[in-house]
Amino acid sequence: MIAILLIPLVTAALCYALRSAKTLGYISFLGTVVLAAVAVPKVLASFSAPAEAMKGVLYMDSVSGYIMAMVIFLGLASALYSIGYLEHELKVGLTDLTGMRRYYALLHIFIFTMLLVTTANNLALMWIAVEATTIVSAVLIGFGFRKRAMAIEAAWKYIILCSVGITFALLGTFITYYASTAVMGTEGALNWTALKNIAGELNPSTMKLAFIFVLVGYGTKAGLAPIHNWLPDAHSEAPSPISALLSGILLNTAFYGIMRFVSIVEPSTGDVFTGNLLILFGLISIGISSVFILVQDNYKRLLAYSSIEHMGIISLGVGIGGPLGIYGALLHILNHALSKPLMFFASGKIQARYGSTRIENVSGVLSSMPLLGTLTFIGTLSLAGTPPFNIFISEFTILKAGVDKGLWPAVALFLLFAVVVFYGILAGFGRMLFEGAEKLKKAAPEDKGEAVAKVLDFPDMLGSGIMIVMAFCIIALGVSIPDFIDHAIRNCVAVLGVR
Amino acid sequence: MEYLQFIIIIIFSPLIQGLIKKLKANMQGRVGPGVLQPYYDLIRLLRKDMVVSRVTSWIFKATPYIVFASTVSAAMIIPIITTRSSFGMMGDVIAVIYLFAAGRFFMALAGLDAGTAFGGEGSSREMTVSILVEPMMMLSIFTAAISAGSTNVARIAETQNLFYSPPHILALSAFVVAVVAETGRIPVDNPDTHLELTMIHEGMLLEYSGRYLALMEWAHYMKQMLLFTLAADIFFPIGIDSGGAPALIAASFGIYLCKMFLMACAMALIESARVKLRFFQLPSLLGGAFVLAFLSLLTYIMIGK
Amino acid sequence: MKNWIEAFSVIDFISVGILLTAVAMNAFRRLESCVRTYTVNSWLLSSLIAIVAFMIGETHLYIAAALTLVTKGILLPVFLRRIVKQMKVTHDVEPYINNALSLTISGILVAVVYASLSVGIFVSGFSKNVLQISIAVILIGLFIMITRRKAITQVIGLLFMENGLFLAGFSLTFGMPTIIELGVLFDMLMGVIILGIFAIQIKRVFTSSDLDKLTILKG
Repeated sequence: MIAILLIPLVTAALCYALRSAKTLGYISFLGTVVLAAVAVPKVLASFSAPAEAMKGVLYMDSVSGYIMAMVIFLGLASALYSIGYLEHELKVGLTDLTGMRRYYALLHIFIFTMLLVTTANNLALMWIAVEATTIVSAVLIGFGFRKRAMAIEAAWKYIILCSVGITFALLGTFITYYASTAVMGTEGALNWTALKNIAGELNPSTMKLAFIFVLVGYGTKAGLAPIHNWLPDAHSEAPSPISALLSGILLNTAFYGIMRFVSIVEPSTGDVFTGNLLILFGLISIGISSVFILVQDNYKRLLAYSSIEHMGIISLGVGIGGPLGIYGALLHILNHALSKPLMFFASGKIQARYGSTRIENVSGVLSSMPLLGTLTFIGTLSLAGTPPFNIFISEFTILKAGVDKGLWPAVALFLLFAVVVFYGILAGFGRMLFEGAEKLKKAAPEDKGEAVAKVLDFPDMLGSGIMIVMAFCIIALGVSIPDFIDHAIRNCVAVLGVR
Repeated sequence: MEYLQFIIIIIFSPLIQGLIKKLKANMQGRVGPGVLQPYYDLIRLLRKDMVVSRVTSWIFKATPYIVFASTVSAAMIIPIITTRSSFGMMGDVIAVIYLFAAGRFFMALAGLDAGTAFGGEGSSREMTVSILVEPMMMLSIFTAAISAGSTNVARIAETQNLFYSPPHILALSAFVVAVVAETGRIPVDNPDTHLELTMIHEGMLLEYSGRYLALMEWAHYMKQMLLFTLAADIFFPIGIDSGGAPALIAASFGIYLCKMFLMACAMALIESARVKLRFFQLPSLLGGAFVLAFLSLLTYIMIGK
Repeated sequence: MKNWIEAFSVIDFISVGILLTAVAMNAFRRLESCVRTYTVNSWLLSSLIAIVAFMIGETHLYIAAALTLVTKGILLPVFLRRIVKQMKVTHDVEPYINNALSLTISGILVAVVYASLSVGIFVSGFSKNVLQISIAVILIGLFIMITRRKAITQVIGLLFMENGLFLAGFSLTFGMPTIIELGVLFDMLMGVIILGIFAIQIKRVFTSSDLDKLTILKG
């Protein structure tokens, strides 16, 4: 397990030391491949039996394994995609070698911090890791490899809001520690495994307070409304591969923290308290984001708001609870982690081609770039929750859980917002995909990006390759859920101890 | 005997004023007037004729007496060297503050009465300051009042035991600011100047002369000494007599004089070390002191000692 | 010595001092004074931890006190002062609301905290009011962040929140395990350094250290 954590760090050091723009990307990709090779057996093992390391400080059960698998897969995907993306940026002069070295090094440190979140057993260590993800990713957004006013603004908002939010999560962690020391003394009192065992004996009112603070804290990081303002800025201003990581997995690692807390708070307070809070936050997120999706004229921001919506859905799923609700939420995490990065990768290419992130400046993607257009179309349909695709399945599962529990108001609101989102996303991307190609010449800027995007060179093909793989996964998951994933999620539900 | 303790205030208050002036002068490296100078001033003013503007009403003439009388009444309520005084039963610390407020109210009216620009200016400024100072003073005294379970100054002085606690220190610092503001001293007001742009208290007295001015000044000296006494009663009640034996009263009197001397020193020190604030900066200072008083009350309720 | 600390309620004094420095932040106009206030606050925090360590005889608390002193009391103030100097913004803090109002509001915040926590959800620590004070400091820090215009003041507000948080954690549990505290402090240090660099970038790119200029992104 320690090896898993060390590999990204070593890769980061290597990337920083290397001074060749050509090989840099491949080294970084190689690092993620090695990481995947080492980690996959561990992840598979964690589904059957939890593992410990460093005297119980690090711990890996199926939930960790499940999220970790996504971190590694997306790390690999964005490392691959970054090769072509950065070469393009280098060609048009938006970055230089120093910027690239810094970018790759930070990318791997970022992956390391997320891996640390998933493997931390000690809740305070988990907090440290989550805060570290904020700091590292803020650097990646703000001046990882280019200095623009908007990026700095986004990064500033991001780090300030998330730091404030996460401060409350630490307070919640302290309060949890207080509650647990009252029951079991100070030895290992913050280890999730230990807390899980004594969860029923903790003082309910103390745990309620702790949970509120944790929910606000990690909720800020997970992009739950009403403290979501940083998210559209950060996700739209970050370099596309980073946006993909931020949206696809960073939000999930923050939510992972909430899920860990839910499972230790619930036994003492009852699931109505946590459930209602989560449903409330979830519905507010879905509602607010649906409105913003409807009026959005910037496609990267549209995707970011869509992330808020999906985090709201996950929160709703966990809030509805029961095996089915949690199952749906976990499945939704996976589906969102596939669809959203695909869309961000695609939008990076569209941005490179058209030189703009405004929807009105982009048209005829499908006819001018058939492959990319098709991939974008698949992603759009998936994000909007159209039936044959993966996200529909998980949303339906969550709905089913809600109906089973008789939570009609929540279900009705969710359906209403889902319709609005469906229209918003399809209208936005539909215009970009299908509208006439003749306007293209006018709208596209004359010089930069034009020549580069025409020629499909090798790194670009790598990026397209990973996007094709992801699109394939989206369709496959939409048709049926493979047995090993089903098995893994069922294990997770069991680990989280849902009755 | 104990009923007459307020005489001490009437007699000694010009001395305190003289003392502060002398100490301040020494700290600033000047020789300064003698400590008895305020007495000479008062005698001189009492002998002089008065010039009264024709446009003034009865308020102008009544105000000096009202101010003097209200201050003396306040002096009767506050225990000075012994807490056994039946006058004390007639009013509590709130009454003291409102007696001061009554005097101030008439002073402000008189400032307006003569119809001069500076008088009105002084009145309006005085009222602005008092809006902030009065509640602050109340709050800082309340901390002590709650712990004594009474708003009677004598009871507070007898039961006061907050000596080493944070609320006590907070209330004291707020009270010091209140005293500075009430006595019209730097950094709130400058007692030594008649510079029209800055004066607050002096502005209201500008039209007075002769006997009236003497009464007003004397009342002001008394108010100053009374506030010091109040501070001593509430925050440093050590040594104040609660029995009635003449020997103890004498000892208490000695201790009281020492306290007054120390307070005069403190006041001179504050005046020498600070600079006068511009008028529109005052709300910051007074607001800060108000928050201190507020926090003191809260902290007292919280810590409970 | 222990009796002396008890008799003079030193712990109460220090905790109230921590609260006062936080409230005082609202009154200061100059950035340097703000940094100095933060320094005093951190020193008080560190000495509080040290005194409690002395009272209950816990060695790991001495380490925590030393760590707090080094990071919050020395490194961060030095760094902040350098940033302030580098940005050449030694003048006013320029709050959105005036000082008196801001002081009053922070006083009300303290009252609200006291009132809402006076029921005593959990008080078993060393001083009854430390938890309340720490929550109040957190809220005041947040309030400073909301109402100040300069990038650096936002950072200082955040730091006050962290100090309050440390105090809260400390009053609840007598401190976390040392390794955890080390991690948290390291995170915080890194965060502030990054924020400082961002602040300089903002100054350079927007030619102003006012955060009012950061309004390109919305909707």
